[in-house]
This record gives sequence, C-alpha cells and structure tokens, in this order.
Amino acid sequence: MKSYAKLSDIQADLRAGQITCRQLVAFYLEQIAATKHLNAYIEVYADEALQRAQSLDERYATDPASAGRLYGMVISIKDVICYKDHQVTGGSHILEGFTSLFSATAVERLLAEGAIIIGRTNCDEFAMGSTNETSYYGPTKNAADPSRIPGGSSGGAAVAVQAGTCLAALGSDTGGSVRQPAAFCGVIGLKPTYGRISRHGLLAYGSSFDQIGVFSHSIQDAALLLEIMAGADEYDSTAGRRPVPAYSQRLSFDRRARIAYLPEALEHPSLDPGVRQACLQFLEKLTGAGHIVEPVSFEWLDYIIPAYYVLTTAEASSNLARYDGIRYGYRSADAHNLEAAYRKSRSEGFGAEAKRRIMLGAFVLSAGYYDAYYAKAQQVRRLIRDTTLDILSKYDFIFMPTAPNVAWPLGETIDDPVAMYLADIFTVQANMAGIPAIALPAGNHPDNGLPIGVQLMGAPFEEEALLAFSKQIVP
Amino acid sequence: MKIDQQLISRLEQLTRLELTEAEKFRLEGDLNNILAMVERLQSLDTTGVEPLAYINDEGENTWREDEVQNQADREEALKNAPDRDEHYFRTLKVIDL
Amino acid sequence: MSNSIYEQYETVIGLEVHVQLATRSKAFCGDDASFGGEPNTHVSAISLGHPGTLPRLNKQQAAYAVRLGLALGCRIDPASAFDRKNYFYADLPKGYQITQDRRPICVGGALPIKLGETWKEIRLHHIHMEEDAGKSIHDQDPRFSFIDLNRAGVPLLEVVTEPELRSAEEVDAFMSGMQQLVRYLGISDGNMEEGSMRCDCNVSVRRRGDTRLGERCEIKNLNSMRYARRAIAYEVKRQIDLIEAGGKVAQETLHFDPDTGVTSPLRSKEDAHDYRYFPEPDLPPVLLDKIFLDAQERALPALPWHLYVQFRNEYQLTDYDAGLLIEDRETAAYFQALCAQTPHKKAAANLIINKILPWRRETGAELADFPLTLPSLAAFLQLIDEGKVSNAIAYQRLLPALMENPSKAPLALAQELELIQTADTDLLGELADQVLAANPDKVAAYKKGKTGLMGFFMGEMMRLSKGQADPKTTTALLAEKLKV
Repeated sequence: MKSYAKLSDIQADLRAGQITCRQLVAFYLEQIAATKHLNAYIEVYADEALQRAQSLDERYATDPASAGRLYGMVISIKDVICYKDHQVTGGSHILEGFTSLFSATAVERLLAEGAIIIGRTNCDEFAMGSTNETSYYGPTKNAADPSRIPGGSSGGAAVAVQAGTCLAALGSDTGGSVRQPAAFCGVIGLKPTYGRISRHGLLAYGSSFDQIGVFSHSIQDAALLLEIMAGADEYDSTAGRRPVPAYSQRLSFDRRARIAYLPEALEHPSLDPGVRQACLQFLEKLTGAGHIVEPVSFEWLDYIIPAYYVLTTAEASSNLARYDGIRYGYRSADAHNLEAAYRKSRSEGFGAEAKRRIMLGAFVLSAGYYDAYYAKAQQVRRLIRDTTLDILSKYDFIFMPTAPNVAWPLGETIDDPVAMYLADIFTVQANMAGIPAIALPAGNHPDNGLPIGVQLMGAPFEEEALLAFSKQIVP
Repeated sequence: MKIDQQLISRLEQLTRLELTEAEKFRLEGDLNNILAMVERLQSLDTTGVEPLAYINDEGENTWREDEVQNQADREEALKNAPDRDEHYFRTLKVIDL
Repeated sequence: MSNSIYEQYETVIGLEVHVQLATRSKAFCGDDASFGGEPNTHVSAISLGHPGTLPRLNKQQAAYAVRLGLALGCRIDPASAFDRKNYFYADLPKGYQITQDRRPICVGGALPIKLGETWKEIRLHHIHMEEDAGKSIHDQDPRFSFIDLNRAGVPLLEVVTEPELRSAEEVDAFMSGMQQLVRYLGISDGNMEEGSMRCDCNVSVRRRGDTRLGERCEIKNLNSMRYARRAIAYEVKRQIDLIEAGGKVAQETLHFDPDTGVTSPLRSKEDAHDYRYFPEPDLPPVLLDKIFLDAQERALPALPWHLYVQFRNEYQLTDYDAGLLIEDRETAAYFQALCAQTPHKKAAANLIINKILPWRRETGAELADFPLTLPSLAAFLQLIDEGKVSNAIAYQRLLPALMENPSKAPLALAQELELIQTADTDLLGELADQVLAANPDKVAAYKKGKTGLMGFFMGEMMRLSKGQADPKTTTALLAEKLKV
C-alpha cells in the first residue's frame, strides 16, 4: 500500500475501490509494529480499529454519505484525551489502569464523522515537559533519529504521524506541546485559539492555557479535523460560542499578507544558527511571494517564560490534587491511615517533574507569596496578551521560530529544568495570549539534517486566515 | 526569596507529597533556580495593570438550566475505585477527624 | 469564679451559615441534588472529579442567591466570580472546592432578628455560592472509612455575618430567622437536623467597653440550635477563665461534643488554613443583567419582618399573635387572605391561631385544605361580631357543626341548630321575670349588696333560653329589674 499524506487521496482511492478502510487500518497497524522501538504508542486498539473499519466499509458500500466526512481518517489520540471505556493515564503511573466513563467532546465529534482511533500515544506525564522523557511508559524516540527526542509533551502523537502509523493525531498544547514536537518531527502542528475546541475530556494541566491540537501532513486535513471538533460545548464553560467556519473549504488565500516578526526572537542568544538561517529563508520566501514582512518590537519576550511557569504550575498543582488514590488511580499498598495513603500514593504515583511543578505551583499560590508571584504573573500575562493582540490588529500574522534548536539527544536536558523551561520561549506566547498558532515544516538542519519548523500565530478565532495562508506555503 | 528545607516540608504537607532526602535536596536546588528565573518578573513595573484571569470573556453567561441529567450509575462510579464495597468507596481511617 | 467576673466580659459572635439549596440538580453538573438516595447514585464523572471533567454553573443557584440577597438588602454584584479553595479531604473529589472568595455574589445586607418584642438588625458581611462536599462515614468499621459522594457538588449558599451577635440567644434568633427566611423564599428546607442548614460559630470575648476584638475560635458544624447554645456557653466560659488565669486565647478551630458538652480543637485538615485561593479558570464571571435581577425581585414573597410590622400596626395584633402568624409563609398568606374578606382582623387572627393552626398540626394537612372556605369563615366571624351567636357558642357548637357540613352557610346552620342569640327584650323580659320570681331569696340578697349573684341570674337566663339569650341585653335587663 502506498503511504498517504492527505485524506482526500485516501478517500479518492476508497471511492475508486482501490483500497478498503480495513486494509488501510491493517497497513497502519503494520507500521506501528515496525516502528515499535520508537515507543510512540502506549496502547494500540488493533482489533477494535479493524472491526470499526470493517463496519464503516459496509456502511459506505450501502450509503457513502453515512460513513461520515472522516471515512478513511485514521488517527491516534494523546494519552491525555478521554475515550469512553478506554484507559487514559496521562502518561503517568498514578492513573495506570483507569478507564474513562466518557469521551472527550472532540473525540465524539470525530467518531460521529467516521474517524477511526487506532491507539493512544505516549506523552510527558500530565503533558508537563518538552521532550517526552517524563512519561512513566518510557521516552518516545524521534523517527528521524531514534537517539533523539521527538519533543514534547505530545511526542508520541508527533512521531505517530511522522512515522506513518496514522494519518493525523490529536495532541494537546499548553505551552507548545503540539507545535514544538511537530517542528522536531517535520510535520504540521496546529494549536487553535483558546476555547475553540472544548476541553471536556482533556486532562487538565494549565486550565487557562490548554487546547487540544492536531498533527497532520497536510493543511487540508488539519483544517477538516478542526472544523469538525470545534465549537460550543455544553460541558465546557470556557469554550467559545462563535460559529465555526467551514475551514476545510476556505483555504484559498489570494491577497497580500502582512506578517510581523520579532527581531528579539530572531536575534535571541539561544537560537541555533541553522534554525535562524531557516527562519530567514522562510521570511525571504514570503517577501518573494509578495507579502509584507516587517519587524515589530515586543519588549516582554524575556518575561513570558517566568510568567508562564508561575501560572501553569499554579493551575497544575490544583488540577492534580484530584489524583489521591481514593476514587480511582494508583493507591499505595504501604499506608496505614488515610494521610499516609495520600502521601505515599501521590509520591509513588507521580514522577519527578510532576512533583516539582506541583510544589512550585503550591508555593506561588501560598499565603504571603500570591501577590508577588501569581498576581504579578497575571498582570504580566495581560501585558503580553494586549501587546500581542495589538500587533495582530495591524498584521495578519506573527512569525516566530518554533524552538531555538532542533531535536537534541535523549537524556541531555533532563537534569536542568530551567534550561528545558527556557526552550519553550517561542511557543508559550500563543498560549499566554490565547491565540491560534501553527508549526510548519521548513526544511532540515544543514549540519544534522534534522527537521526544522517555523511558526505562525494569528488573531483569536482567525484560524481560517491562518490555515489558508499556511496552505499557500505548505500546499 | 530562597526556598529552604523548612519551606519544602510545608509544601510537602500542602500537596500531600513525601519526598526522599535526596529528592528534597535536589528539589531545593531546582526550585531555587526556577525561582531565580521567575524573580525576573519583579523587575517589570506593572502598576495599574489589571490581572488577566479569563482569556475569553464573551460577555455572556454559560450557565445551565436546573435539570437532572447525565448521571452515572453506581457500578460505573465505583468501577475504578482502588478499594470499595457494594455501595461505597473505601479508604483507610482518617486518624484525625 | 464569681458571676461578676463573667459579667465584665462581652461575648462577640459571628456566624457562617451554610444553606443547602433545594435545586433539582447540583451546582456544577446535572446530578440529582435531592436529599437521600442510595449511596453513590447521585453522581457522574464530573461530581466524582474524574480526569478531564469541567464545571458548568446551575442558573438556579445564582437565582436563589440573588433572591436571598435581595430579601436581606444586600448589594448584588453583577459580575461575581468563582475561586478554588484547595485542600485534601476524602469527601472532596477534586481536591478543591469551587467557591467565591474575592467577589461574592451578594455584599452587605442585614437580617432582622426577633428578640422578645423587639427586632435587632444583624449586619451581614456577604453571601457567596459554593458547592458541598460528600459524606465520610467513620463509625461503621474499625479499619475503614466509607465515602458517599451523593452530596458532593450540591449547591450551597454561605451567609457570613459581621461579629454583631452578643449571646447564644441572639444566635438562636438568627438561625431561626434564617431558617424562616429560606423557607419563605422556597430556596431551602432550612432543616438543621437533616443538614440542609449548618452553622459555624466564631466566638470571642472582650472586656465590656473594649472596642478591639478578642482572638476568636471557630466552632464548626453545629447542627442544632440546642448544641449551638451549649457550645457557645461552654466556649465563652472557657475563654474568660483562660484570660482571667493570665493566658491568651489562641485562634483555633473547634469541635463541640454534645455528649461531653465540651469544645476541643479539631486537628487541622489543612495546615494553617493555607487554602491557596485563586480564580477558578474553568468558570467565567457570573453576569447578571437587569432582566434577571428584576425576575428575582418579582419572585420575592412578602417578608416575615414586614408582615410583622403590618400585623401589629395595621391589624393591632399582639406581639404573640403576630409572631405566630408570620411563622411560616403559608400561615401568613392564609391570614392575609382571610383579612381581605373580613374587617375583623383580630377575630380572624384568633380563629386561625386557636382553631385552624391546631387543626393543621393534628391532621398534617395544608391550610388550603381546611374544610371551610374563606368566605364561609368570614361569614362566621360576622355572625359573632353582630352578636347573633355568642363567642362561646360559636366556637363550641357552630364551628364543629360547620366543619361537618362545610357547604352550609353559617347563618343558616346556626338558625337550624337554634343557636341564634336573641336580644328580644319582650321575650327576655318575660324570662327575667320568671327567673327572679323563682328565686326571691337571691333577689333579696342581691338587693342587699351581693352583686355577685348576677352570675347566677345570668346562668338561669341562659338555661331557660337554651343559651340564646344575648348576654349584653340580658345583663342590662336584669340589672334594670333588680334595681333597688
């Protein structure tokens, strides 16, 4: 079977009877087996996916429309997204064996249109990390070079698509967890506007930052998936209620765009020269295509990471309090009373990074420190958001590198949390401001051939323009 | 602001975590490094800036009508419990009430 | 220690009253919020605190909060917000409670409480919305505790007073007043024994004349007014004894043991109360527009303290009677409905208090089910007022007969039963002559000064007239005939 990069190609072959969905799933299952060493999947739903494919094929045979708009779309979901009657563990020991009672709204909407979920992908524990090395289920490896990280926290999802084991994947993005691994793995990674997709069924990490995101090989597919998942939800009070445009059908961009870039970013000391080169080439390409590319000042770049870590660890410390071994999850066998049970279950169940962030989050919220840290960070967030939106009122998009470097070797940063946090510098802005952003493949590094991704950010709820423009660049 | 072992003990209590001595030592260093990074925020003058709490303020309520719906049944509710009997979640005794 | 030492101190009390709302569903999800139910059946992934779940506010909780706030004269915040209160407890599924810390929905206000015949206003600090926790059962098994999450997420309103209560008596009056009000508004059962109303009491003492507040202790979860009285009495004495002995009161959270009558420190659930409040990111502010606020205003009934004033001033009722008639909304409304049909307000009050409320108590029925209609009751009262039937006869004989035959008009039934009093002076004059003629020695005694015998003559008149002699006319007639 040939390898597909677009749903439209798959659907054409299905229509023509060249393949069946069942064959497609079987093919992906073979790819999963062949790439097992990359450890992208925690669980594969082999039989279930085959059976579902079979029944969709049968439905298609009698009435094509009834198989849904996503007939032929095989996806994987990150281990932070709930799928009814399936396990979800957040990449953590503390939820090992937990079966969800419901599906995420995003998942339900995709299933209603005939998508097939082939498995659940590996990720950093509770989506906290940028290398996929904090997962209880072992690190995931980059298919371009298995001695290197794929990025994180949605490392498994990125590799699943990169390695051709599914057509698209759902991840989650709180500070760059879709875009950064997308860049490291050479695929497209989309984070929608905060509130564009319901968070019902997404394990909460940073509640005012989290969004479900999409990995794919084509803009077309990302647009279609977004279109189907997006929109108001009765279960999520923070989900935006605006109508959802038919993104997949509005992908033509035939005007001159105004693109801003931040010189502070392009000249940032942490930016690898090969990556900078790719960024500059990308900007030249845009200018060459007739778009306007201009520098804008953004004085808050170095404040983004500190503010982000204060706010997300605070929210996380609260969101992770529910993992106490009482109603579900891991309970230590070691304890003699309830208090001890709490401590041992949580200490044995959580990994080091999760514990670090929980403690830091509790600290910044604690009495006497709230104003200096949490309230301050909220003020800084407003400055960042206001300035970013101001730029986007004058420009269509903001250009950024996705990460300061390309995928680095496994084990390199795990000892230096601060270095790891600082590497999020280019992706976090979009989460701080709540705006949509996309990572686009932009060639390979001249020295090591590893994938480089560039990033475009758009105005809130303006995914239509962002996707259409991206399609111009990555047709 | 420096994080010391006393503060770490307090944080352990607040978060119901119990670290080994080695972990506590490492954490002290890590947290101090992270705090040093976070301290940068202090140098920014934010007088008069309203803290941002809600990203999307659509100016409309998202409340729901008072109706009973979408309940789970008891078996579903208890099925993930580490310890349970027929009706309840079961935990070890709370020694202090 | 002599009493005079205790009298040198003033007790200062502030209350935090939790009112469980009688909504159909929970505060932040669609689970059944009603009391009872088999354990762990009023639950869902959301109230169980499962991974990936989010809250959604029950509109009725906001509506009830506003109604309570309007009744108490609070300022309603049109954009109040939720916060998370973080702590660990086995019956707190999310590891935090959704509450309102920074911007509660109602601010200020006051509850008028009735102390004897006077009313005192107890000012409130605020009222806020929050959710209840589940229930832990500790006494079923020596090794285990059992958790029932039916109650987890049930909507609560917390009413916080200023520290303006000065005695256990005032606390009792406040709790009674609060219970009465939430029942009037129909927002809660206000049932302390069932737990739909709970009280935490902040108690401190200070020397009389001192304006600073002493260190306070919080006595948690008092679920009966009797316990509250005893707990306060104990705690006040404890604090005064401590201070007099040279000690200092430490700020503590206490538990009252009704068996021993003693308050003792609750070992803290949460270290030094560091709840790490922060704005709840999953819920936007609660926006209240004029349409919504007006709707809540319209839903308010007449309030007990306003009715009390009306009943005393307009209807001239006693404190006691007014108090009884405002006790519950049904009674007050019934009384007012009857008053709309008759000018005899006091008589109407007596009728309800002495006959109809006891009937309600005995039968357990509702006032609306009382066999006689309001017009019928009004006609009954009219008969008495006109003197057609004596008060005694009306209540002892006519009313019971009417209750057996509710479709009969009171006048017609009274006539049928020959209960109508006569003030016919000819007839009465003849009977009077008979009575006096039959008792010459008593007449002589009366004329010699034994005026008490009038009672005897009246009794004879009643006997001969089969109770139909109108007392006023008869007395006047007898007096005339017995004139010396």
